Amino acid sequence: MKFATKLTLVVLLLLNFCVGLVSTILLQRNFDSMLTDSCGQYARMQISLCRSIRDSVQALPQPQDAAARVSGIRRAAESAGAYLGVQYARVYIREKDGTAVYKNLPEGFSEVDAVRALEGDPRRHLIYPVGDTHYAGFCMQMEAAGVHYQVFSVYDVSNVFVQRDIQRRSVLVMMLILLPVSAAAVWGVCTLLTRNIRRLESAAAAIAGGAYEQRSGIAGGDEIASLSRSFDDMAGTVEETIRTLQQNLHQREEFVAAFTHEIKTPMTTMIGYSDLLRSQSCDAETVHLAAGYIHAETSRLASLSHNLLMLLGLSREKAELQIMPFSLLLQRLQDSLGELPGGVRLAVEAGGECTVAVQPDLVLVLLRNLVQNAARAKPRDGRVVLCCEKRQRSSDAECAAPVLAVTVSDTGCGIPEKDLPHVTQPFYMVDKSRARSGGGSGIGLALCERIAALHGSRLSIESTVGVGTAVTVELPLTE
Amino acid sequence: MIHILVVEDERPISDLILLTLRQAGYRCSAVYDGLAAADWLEANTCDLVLLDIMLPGADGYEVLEYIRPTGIPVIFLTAKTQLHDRVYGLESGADDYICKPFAPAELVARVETVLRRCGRGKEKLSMWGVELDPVQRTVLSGGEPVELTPREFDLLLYLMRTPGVALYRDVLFERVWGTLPDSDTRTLDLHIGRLRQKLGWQDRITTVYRIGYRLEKEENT
Repeated sequence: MKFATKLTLVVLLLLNFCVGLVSTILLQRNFDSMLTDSCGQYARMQISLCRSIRDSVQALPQPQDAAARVSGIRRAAESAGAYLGVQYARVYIREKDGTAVYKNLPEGFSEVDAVRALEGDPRRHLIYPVGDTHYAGFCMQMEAAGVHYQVFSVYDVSNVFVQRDIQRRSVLVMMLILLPVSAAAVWGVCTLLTRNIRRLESAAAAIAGGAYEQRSGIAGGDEIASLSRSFDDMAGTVEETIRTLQQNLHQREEFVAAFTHEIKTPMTTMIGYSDLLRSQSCDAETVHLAAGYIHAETSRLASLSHNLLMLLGLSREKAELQIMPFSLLLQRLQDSLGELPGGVRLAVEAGGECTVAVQPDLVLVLLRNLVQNAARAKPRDGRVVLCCEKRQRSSDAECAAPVLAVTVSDTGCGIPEKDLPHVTQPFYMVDKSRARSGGGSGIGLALCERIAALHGSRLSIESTVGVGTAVTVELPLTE
Repeated sequence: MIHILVVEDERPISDLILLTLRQAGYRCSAVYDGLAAADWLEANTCDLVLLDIMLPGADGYEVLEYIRPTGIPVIFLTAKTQLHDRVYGLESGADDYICKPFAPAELVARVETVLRRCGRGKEKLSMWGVELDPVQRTVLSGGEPVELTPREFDLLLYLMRTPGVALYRDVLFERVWGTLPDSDTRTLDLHIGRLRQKLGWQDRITTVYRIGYRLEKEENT
């Protein structure tokens, strides 16, 4: 059952119960007061009736004569009935010793009822239902000519009961009308109030269905709004996580695809040429060409696998940093560099002496890669410049640490702006054929980026096509 | 002579394809990027294009769009071997799809198949008055049918696809029988002998010392 339906039913039940209770109480009180009014009126009427009977008895010529008294009372009662209307003179009179004197009770009343009333509490008035009619009975003591009489009179109070029934009926009718109207109103209000819950529900369902960007977005200060905010926060976190996971997955897929492509190209060459060589006798020129290609591609694969192993190894472990003078590192770089392609020279513009905390083998790989990349860009002035500068760590303003910013720059062909964000991705090559002919494996910069990250830095690359490229990496300085 | 355009940016692979196809008796031209391919097709025509997908300039799919109206059959040549790439390649109108790495013999067979299907290739291989139909697997010598066993037929087919080339006997055996030869290659010698006898090719199939066999080229081709 829907929440709004439940709420509606409960509210309707309560509403009806309250209205019913209140109207019952009101009706009862109204009825009681009307009855009391009527009874008071009739009590006064009884008093005046008794008075007129007593007066006429005392006015008798021989009030001591019992028979004369009886007939006198009867006459007085009848004349009062004629005067007031017969329904107002329904009366039973007896002497105190129980001798009935006069009886003019309506149909359905017996003497027994009257006697029982007179022998009970005289102050009470009693209601006697007779058929559809209700009567109120009153008792009274009267003394006339030294004799004590007991008078019991009844009056018709049906109209009070009729009134009550009419009111009851109209309340019932009103409630019958009220019920559907209030049901509709309550339903409307409940639907309005639970609207936000439904929004939340549909948002949750949409997210469950895969629309992770869905939000409930309910404004306000109530619990539902705050729930909605928490829900949206949660959905945001989930979306973020999923996006990260998908991105990782996508990157991994791209890496595998690029890697496969990179492997397949040399494989094709190697398989093709070796197959050619072993299946037929070729002339010396072809043999030389084939062997040359096989050798070049095998070397490329070897360097690729070396770099790749390094890259994969780096992603797992944390480097142990050693403290060593930077000049020593530069010395080792120049020793290991050998001849650069295209006769390019490395010019070192080192600042003052300083010590750095680095993993020396990895930093050597990093610097060598940067220098070789720069040399491959065919600098116009025939040199690659490596310069150092001490400064505060630029990326992290809060915990500024002194670093040595090492910049390798060239005046070569530069990198197009659209490629800049991608150059550190594995196997991303700006110009494939040039990178190949220069002996690039496609993961050099990815490796450099990883090594920089191990030293708490990252590669910052500035480049302009036709002007040159400058790559900067920050190494942690020690005092 | 059938003319094939090779569009492949990897120089070693391009050279390999040219070498293989020329040996199989095709005339070849090579270009190294997508735009050059479009320019070449603007000025020249050919019977088949071997097209790499990852090309600088314009990629293989774009070049294919350009080639399709000309009706020249296209074989994609690529390292992208995932199923959706292959489906996409074939749906975009390529006639076949060769995945890297490939063996040169496979390349020649695929090229032949596509050419035949498009009605551009030679239906039959013919040499020294012998006519070989690779589909019907029949051989006619001077117009007369010659009965060959399946192995003899395969051997002849392989020889006729690489005329004028001295073939190493162990590889020749492997290509035809599908397995490496046991220590000696007497079986191969036996089949060569039978072929020579059945076709009258005693001096056409020559024995090359320490290498194997060679089917001599016809002088006029």
